[in-house]
Amino acid sequence: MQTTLSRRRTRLGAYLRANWLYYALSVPGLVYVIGYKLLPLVGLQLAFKDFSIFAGDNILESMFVSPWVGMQHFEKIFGSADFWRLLRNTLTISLMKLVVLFPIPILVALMLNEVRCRPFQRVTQTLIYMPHFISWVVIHGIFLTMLSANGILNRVLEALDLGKTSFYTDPIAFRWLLVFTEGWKESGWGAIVYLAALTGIDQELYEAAYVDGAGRLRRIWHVTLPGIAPVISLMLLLRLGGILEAGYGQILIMYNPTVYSTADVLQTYIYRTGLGKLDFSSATALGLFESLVGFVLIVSCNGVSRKAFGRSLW
Amino acid sequence: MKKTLALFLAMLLLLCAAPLATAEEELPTLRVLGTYNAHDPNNDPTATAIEEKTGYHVEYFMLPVEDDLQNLLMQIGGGEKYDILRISETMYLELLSNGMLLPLDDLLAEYGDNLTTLITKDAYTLTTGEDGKIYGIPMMAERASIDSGVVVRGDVLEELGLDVPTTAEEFKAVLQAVKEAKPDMIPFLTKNEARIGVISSGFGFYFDWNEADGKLANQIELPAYREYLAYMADLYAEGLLDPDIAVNNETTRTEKLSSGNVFAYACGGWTDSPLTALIDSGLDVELIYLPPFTDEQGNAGIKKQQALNNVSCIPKTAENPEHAVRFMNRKLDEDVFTYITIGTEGETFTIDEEGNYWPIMPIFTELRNNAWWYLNSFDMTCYGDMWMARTRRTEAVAEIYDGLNQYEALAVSNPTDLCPTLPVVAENKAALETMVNDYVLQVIVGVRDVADHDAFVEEWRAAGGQASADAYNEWYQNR
Amino acid sequence: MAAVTQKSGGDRVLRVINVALLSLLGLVCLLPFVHMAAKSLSGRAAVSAGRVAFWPIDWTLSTYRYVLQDDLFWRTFQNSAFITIVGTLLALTITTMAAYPLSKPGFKGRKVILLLYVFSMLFYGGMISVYILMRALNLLNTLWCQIIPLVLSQYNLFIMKTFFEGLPEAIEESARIDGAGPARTLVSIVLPLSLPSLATIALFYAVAYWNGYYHAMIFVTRADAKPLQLYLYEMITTTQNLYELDPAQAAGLSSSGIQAAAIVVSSIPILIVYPFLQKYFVHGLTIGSVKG
Repeated sequence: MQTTLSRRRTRLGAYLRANWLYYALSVPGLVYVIGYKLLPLVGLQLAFKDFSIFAGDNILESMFVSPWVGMQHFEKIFGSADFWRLLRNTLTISLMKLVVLFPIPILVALMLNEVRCRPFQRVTQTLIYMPHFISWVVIHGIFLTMLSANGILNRVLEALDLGKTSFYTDPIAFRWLLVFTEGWKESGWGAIVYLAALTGIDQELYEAAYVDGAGRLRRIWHVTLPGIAPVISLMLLLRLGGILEAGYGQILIMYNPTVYSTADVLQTYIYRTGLGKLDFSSATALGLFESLVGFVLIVSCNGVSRKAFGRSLW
Repeated sequence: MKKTLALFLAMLLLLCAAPLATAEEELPTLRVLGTYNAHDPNNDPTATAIEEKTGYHVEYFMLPVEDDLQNLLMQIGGGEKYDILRISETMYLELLSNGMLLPLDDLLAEYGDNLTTLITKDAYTLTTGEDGKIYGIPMMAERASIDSGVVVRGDVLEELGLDVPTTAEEFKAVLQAVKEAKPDMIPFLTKNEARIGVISSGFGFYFDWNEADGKLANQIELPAYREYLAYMADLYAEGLLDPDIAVNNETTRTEKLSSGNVFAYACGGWTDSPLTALIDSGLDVELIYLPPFTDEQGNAGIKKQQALNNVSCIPKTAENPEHAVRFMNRKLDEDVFTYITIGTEGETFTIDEEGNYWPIMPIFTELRNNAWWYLNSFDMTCYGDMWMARTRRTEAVAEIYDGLNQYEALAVSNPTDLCPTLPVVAENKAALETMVNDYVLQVIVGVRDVADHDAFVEEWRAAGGQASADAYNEWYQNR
Repeated sequence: MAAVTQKSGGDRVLRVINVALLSLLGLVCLLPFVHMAAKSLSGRAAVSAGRVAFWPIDWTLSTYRYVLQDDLFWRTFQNSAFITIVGTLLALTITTMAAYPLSKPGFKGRKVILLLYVFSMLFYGGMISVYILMRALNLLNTLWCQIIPLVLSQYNLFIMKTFFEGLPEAIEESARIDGAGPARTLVSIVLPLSLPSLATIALFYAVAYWNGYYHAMIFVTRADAKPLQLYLYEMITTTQNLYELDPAQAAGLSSSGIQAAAIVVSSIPILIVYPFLQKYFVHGLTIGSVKG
């Protein structure tokens, strides 16, 4: 008994002596995450309380002395007549963006990787990431001018006898407009992480494939894609966590009352109806709901990925 | 423990400060929090002028441009200490109902002679709590004026041989004629708003809350509102409104208006920037401001804007409440007030023989551009005239102001003008307004049908409309 | 590299299509900037009437004069520069430190720590508790309250970890056999090999800091502690009170012109960062060169 314990202890000692660096390096990150991210989670209790900011002598005390109300705020959100419409819209828009937009940065990165003219590659790379720096307010302004009833696009459509489309007021066209503008803004930016991943692929693998007589597309398929697969699966996993967010910042700026039926998502609804404005509790409840869904999705997809592909985030 | 420590520190401070105190009184630095404006309040000529005239050094803070009420509550709840809050009525009310404000009656009686004599009793009723105590210094609109109108292109009217329309039906006929003769022109460009005053006058109502049979009713509850809405929807269906009505913003309106392609435009006040841009564009256009339309009974009217602009109040946590009141009072001393609001006669402004105030440009703007932000209130006996100097800084702005206000004889006071903000109204106001605006737009563009108007009114009542109406009526009966 | 280049006809067609598509993409992304630059250089009447497309009408520099003369613009610019430089250095250090151990399967406690990071990425305690924290730390109205919230992004941490995992274990193994301690392996073998990843993460942080204004909106009530992007955001979302300017000055200015000029000026510093970092995105640092 004693010997096993002491042997275990010496083994632990040896392990620590060999790997002390890992623990030392982890300290700053952990201190930050615990202090700045986990400690403030005491605020989540607001989702189950009738919070009044002035209930106590100071705001922290107010948080604790406000009365518990159970699931009342969740019932208010889920019980709303609009809830299912909002959830449907949120998921539809999120999935449209995911399916259409997720592959684009990968494609762009692969295309850039195939360019052999270095200056052209660099210039293009810089150009396509520029839209990321324009805020949604400004992007909305630019697209609105182009796509309005008498905007340039409709004039072209008219000239081609294709008929006008009111992109901003047609409930279906508007969803695609959301997808398109987001793709335009973020695709080039999204490609950067894949470009970085591409630099890590061992060049010898390419040479080996070339010797085997593999063509360009085959090399991409057999060498490049597997090489960046870990980053691709990571990106996909991280995207899933925000599935209920649906990019509401963009929607809030771009939508209008004529497309509420298809473009109103959970967060925009909460924002517009003022439910979350002063009612910190409802806003917290909605946030908690979104977090939970995201967390469950990430954890289960990670599990599936580990079982199916032997690759996982943790 | 903390308290003892604080006490000890305070005593230590006092001991240190005591030998330094001179015969002259040490004035504390005041901390003032205001609503957002695009300037650095600590680095502005007006701030310097105020310090120079009052002797108080003031540190200014600003709320964010968005979600400012939420931020204010978080700050005050979090224990941030300010001596004066210069905030909107809604914010004031939220703090008041949470018991965060200091009653000012005693302080006003002791230090506030200007504040009590130069500001009317009527104005103070708006900042009096249910317990009868005063909790804020009211700042009203500088001058009761008309702040909406419809502008049409006089040159186009003349070219087509049309008369200036004076009723809703005539207006529609004119728009049809314009569309017929000039297919490239947008007949009528409007904002997304629940009521265009000039047009609603033709249907016999002028306000959000109108009196009918001794009771207050929201405009959407009136039978006339349904007619107004049907009329607007009809304009859209006939192609007389801009097809982009749902998505227009200030920039697109400016682009459309100042390219000379708009016949009629619903203007939102004397600072309306699309209209200013048109006037400054150098296009050779003649603008006619339409009179409020006459209804079937032959009446016409337009809302006179004279509401409460903002409130200055002192939170309970303030460290220098007496000094805050003395400071605000000192700012209303005649010489100080004129100097900090419009500067010095002959340097930044002039007065003509008729007693009109004129700014001297550009020095007026350089020195007093943001002066309004620093005001807690104003001398209600004279500021209405002095303030005109601010509206006369550019020709375009002066032109719009005069154009809108030529119908002063028809201006009518809002029945809820003297109503103190009621908690239930304040709580629901923003959400209800969004709800109505969205609905109106949906009806106009045909997403919803005006035939279902009653159903919407019920929806509105359930969402807090009924509660607001009841609160207003309770006040109205007991006023 | 040359050895891999194919000369077959099918490949050449592919390559032409590829370059054509990328050029088109580049153009589509560039045009809005050209549009904005053109607007910022055009006269008021043309901008207001929406006549400016991709070339300035009635050339003027008055918008730039207006923006560059504004004290607040320079003040906020300095703030943003400080936040971005200090923030990025800090964030890069902490993230690299945290990510490296997590990439080692032999690191006991790895799973728990990873789960902690995932959890903290998804759950947010709300604005109020973060405000209380910042107030307790006495950081309101400082630049630090804008640095701390972004100093470790779990998203970047996971990317960094994945990059580290991609490094062949054999290299570190051989270093260890050569007698290098773990710290020396990290500093002299792993980090130099990870330059592309470090550059990527540095870019992500720099851009997040430069573009960020959300926290300043909550924590900052003094104009002199605001970042440039908040100044810009306020400028874009509120109407400039140009009617209050003197007529001579206002005649050449439109609020959209001023906004455009401000956007152009504020984008330049961060746009320069990328081409600079691009030199680390090179295939040259192959594993082979280190092995040999």
